[in-house]
Amino acid sequence: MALDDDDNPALAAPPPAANTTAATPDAPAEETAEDLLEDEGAAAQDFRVFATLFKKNTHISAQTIRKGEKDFESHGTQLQADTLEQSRAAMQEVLSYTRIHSGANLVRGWYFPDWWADYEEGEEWQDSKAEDGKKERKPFGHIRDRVVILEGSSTSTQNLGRAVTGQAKDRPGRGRDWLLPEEALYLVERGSLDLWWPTREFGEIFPAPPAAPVEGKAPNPETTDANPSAQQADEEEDEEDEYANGFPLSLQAAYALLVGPDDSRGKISLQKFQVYSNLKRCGYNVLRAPPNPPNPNQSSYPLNITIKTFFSSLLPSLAPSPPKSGPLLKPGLYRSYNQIFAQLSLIERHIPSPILPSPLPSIAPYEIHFLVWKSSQKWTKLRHAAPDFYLSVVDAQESEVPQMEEIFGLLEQTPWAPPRKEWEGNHGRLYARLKNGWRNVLMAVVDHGVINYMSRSLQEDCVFPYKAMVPRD
Amino acid sequence: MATVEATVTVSPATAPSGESSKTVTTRAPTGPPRTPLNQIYALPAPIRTFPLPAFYPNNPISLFHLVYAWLRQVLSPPSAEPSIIHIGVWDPDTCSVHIPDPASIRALWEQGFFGKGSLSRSEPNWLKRELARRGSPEGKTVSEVRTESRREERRLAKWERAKAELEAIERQRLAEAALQAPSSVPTEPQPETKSVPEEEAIPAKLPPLKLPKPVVKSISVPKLRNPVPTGLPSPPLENGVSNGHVAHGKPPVGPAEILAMPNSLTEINGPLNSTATQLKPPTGPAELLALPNSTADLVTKSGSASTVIVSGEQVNGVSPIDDFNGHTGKASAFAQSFDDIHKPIFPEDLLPTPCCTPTKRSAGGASVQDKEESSQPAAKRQKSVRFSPKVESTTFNRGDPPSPGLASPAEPAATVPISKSNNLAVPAAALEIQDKEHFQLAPEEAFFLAFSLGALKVIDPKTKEPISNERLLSLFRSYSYFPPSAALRPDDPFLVNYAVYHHFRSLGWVPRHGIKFGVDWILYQRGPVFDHSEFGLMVMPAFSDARWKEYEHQKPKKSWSWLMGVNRVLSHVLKSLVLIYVDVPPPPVFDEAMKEGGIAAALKKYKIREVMVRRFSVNRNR
Repeated sequence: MALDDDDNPALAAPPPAANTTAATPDAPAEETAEDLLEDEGAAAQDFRVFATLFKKNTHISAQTIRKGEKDFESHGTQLQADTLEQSRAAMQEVLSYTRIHSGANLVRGWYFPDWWADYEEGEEWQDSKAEDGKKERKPFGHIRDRVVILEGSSTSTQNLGRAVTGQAKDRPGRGRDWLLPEEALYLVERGSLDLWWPTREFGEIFPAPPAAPVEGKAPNPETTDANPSAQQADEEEDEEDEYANGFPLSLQAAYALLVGPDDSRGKISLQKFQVYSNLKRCGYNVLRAPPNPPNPNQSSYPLNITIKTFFSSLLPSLAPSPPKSGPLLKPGLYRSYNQIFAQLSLIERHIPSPILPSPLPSIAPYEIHFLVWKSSQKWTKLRHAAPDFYLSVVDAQESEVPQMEEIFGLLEQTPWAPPRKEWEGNHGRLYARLKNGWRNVLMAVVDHGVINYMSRSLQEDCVFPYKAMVPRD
Repeated sequence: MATVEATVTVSPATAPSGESSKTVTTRAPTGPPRTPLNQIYALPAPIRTFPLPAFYPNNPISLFHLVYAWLRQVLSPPSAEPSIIHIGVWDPDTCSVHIPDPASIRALWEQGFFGKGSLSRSEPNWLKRELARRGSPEGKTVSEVRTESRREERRLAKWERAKAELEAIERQRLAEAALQAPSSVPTEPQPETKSVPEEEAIPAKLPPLKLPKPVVKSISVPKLRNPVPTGLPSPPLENGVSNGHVAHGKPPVGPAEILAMPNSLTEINGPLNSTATQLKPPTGPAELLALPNSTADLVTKSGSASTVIVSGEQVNGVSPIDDFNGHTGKASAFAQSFDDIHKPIFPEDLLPTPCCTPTKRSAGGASVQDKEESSQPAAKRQKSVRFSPKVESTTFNRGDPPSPGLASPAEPAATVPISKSNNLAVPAAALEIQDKEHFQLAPEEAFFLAFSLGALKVIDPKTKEPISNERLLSLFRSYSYFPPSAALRPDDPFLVNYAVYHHFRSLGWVPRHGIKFGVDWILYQRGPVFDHSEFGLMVMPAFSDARWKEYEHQKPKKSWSWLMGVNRVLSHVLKSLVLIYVDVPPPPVFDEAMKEGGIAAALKKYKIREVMVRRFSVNRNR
């Protein structure tokens, strides 16, 4: 039985009667417990589940696994010992799995930090034509920050990187994908990118397109392997060839090259990278937010709201001011509480509006850093709908809970997201409405690598709930 | 204003009669038909409204109704609202406003949920609780008592859960032992041979359990003895031995005796078994005892076994183990004869209670019950009732002597609670309880009532003069510092908090102090009686005006861990955290507004914006 004052309600043991004889624990309770565990992020790894995921013949069904309850001490039953042993065996099996990097997934990338240093930003995102002729605005590319060029492409790089278009035809490396530091580092960590340090000029590694239209003369080990006829002699040549243009970098080197202070070009702060890779691993699609997000507040909205606010601003001035020392409520006969509460209202309500006459500027650490989409099949790096979340990354050690200007500066960078219409009204869903808010931003607070996501929403519309208090009969 | 003043003097005396009919009905809640909450708490503020009846064009009579109501209000107008002005006394020591008049107390609580009782959680109901505690039929449904009983229930459920788990483990172990080999059986030849007849009586439900059942009994026996040794090791053991001998010395009269056999036998074997348990291999029952939780569970388990066997009547049919049902039937049949047997044993068994009672208490978790004792001892004391006839007979009070068994050893077990409650109830009825609780309003609440509604007069405790609203404001502002300071600024804690309070009050919410949940305010939609509060508010003063740079002020630097902590606590009680940013006007603006337009104009300079903070789960939103 889950009791509400357990440390975590879902962590409480499922009804023990269900699993006493190791029969079938009820599935729904199991699921919720699992959900909450995941939510907590404190889920102990159950290797038996994991084992069943990638190996079908383990004879362990995920159904029999009890989650959320920890046996801290042995109570001497064979069942417990068996369970433990089973779990150990599963863990052994999982850990003994040989991880293979297949050639298809491995791409080589070269670190060229200064290639785009002089690139003028802002051109591309203004207006560029897509290949199929439709006029489309490409998402902002952060081209100046792109420091790693990819030699080929694989499934893991599909939604990463960006080819810089609008270049001269004879520019070397034209049409190749360039990665941002966080993308490169993420791929290196995953083992799907081989990062190399070039010892030759860019033009030598990636010659201009006319010479080799697609593949280039890049020292691709596969192509060189395919060529030779005499093996031994060529192997030496291969080795020479392989390291002629540069040498591979370790993971540490990749971190050293790609992680740095926020303001340096071509690097990313460790906190942001941690958030980025966490979200990517969880299946989200993440892109760097453009420095000046297209202001969603200038979109055309009906004017009636401003007119309304204008009139409502006139109304209080017409009302006589209350006596200096109160009471605010004039003694008298009242027909409804509307009159009463109207007289009581002193402090100006901030009425949310889609149009911000003078949007507050965002203040240093509290800015939108990433745009986040839920995982979907349709998403591509160039074509996607409006982001699901606007994410700001802050360091818990360096910053505090934002002040008013800071938080509203941040919130006003995000688009207008009003609650649903059907929640309104007397019998509407008041709490859902209030909790939705009018603008939403996601903050990732990183404390020494531990990420805490918080959603903040502007919540300005406190409807009059006293209507519910008027007696109904 | 003059009428208001006039009513001031009258109100303390005539308040009960002068109040609206609704509150009058509530003040007499003694009748069995309870007034619905909607009626009791109909008014969101201590102000009545007089809505005109609706006019329906298709129903001409409604027009007459409308005209009649209107004419009546015109000809004999009801007194201007607020018709009653309550009296409060400022108390600088507790920094609150005391309300002495009971009528005002009820009115303020029922009309807008202002204030709190000094000895209660919120609603002033100490008297009711005290009456209930002393056995008077009044005031059973006080919320504190309900909370207490809910906690008790929860504790019981948890305890039962743990017990069931332990039972499962034990069953599993027994099943395994049965599967393993007969080697473990010879270790305990005595109980098995003895309990053969009993085993036949039990309907065989669990096949693996059937054989080792005697082992269960033998386990349960040291349990009964063992909780005693936990406190005092040696003397109770001796007692156990003597008891066992006494019980065994009785001649076997009827079949009830056979049922009682294992009990007495184990009592004989008590010391033996307890020594044996320490020597046994881990597969044996000794392991149970080694478990940290086991003492409590063991008591109950043995208790349950013995109770069921001993007397079917006392179990109230709540026996958790179905297997014993057949057993209980038999036992009840022989209950009478058993009582004869049992009685001589029982007091003696009870005698070692000096150490037995405390263990029972800890096992039941029953140390905190003081409110309702005689009315539902069974409900509250289920654990004890279920598992041991002795404990059912004794209900514990805080004031009770440590061992009730010693106090009344000769009394039959069942009569003890009744006689006790009678003894207590009689003085309770005779005694006139003085209400020792007073009602206090927080400064914000008092100021809202006085300044905004004009429904409260605050009186200076020394001069006995009413305090004007201006003076009240500066008083509250200075007392929002500790020690009270005379240097008042626009960002006084009182002003900032009052701005928030007033803001939400004027929007119809019911804000109450939220220190219990680690926040500044909690927000009810209608009031604590109707719903749980949905929001917890944290007040964050903001100084956005450029002129603030010239003045010294402290920015509320809050760390992220602070925010996470608050949010964590609030989400545990299913509330949402709202940060309330109060933009405080700089001193010159505030002072000028104060000079020109008074308090209202000054308060208008404050601006409030809300931001809701929620945790975001990456795994949930994918």
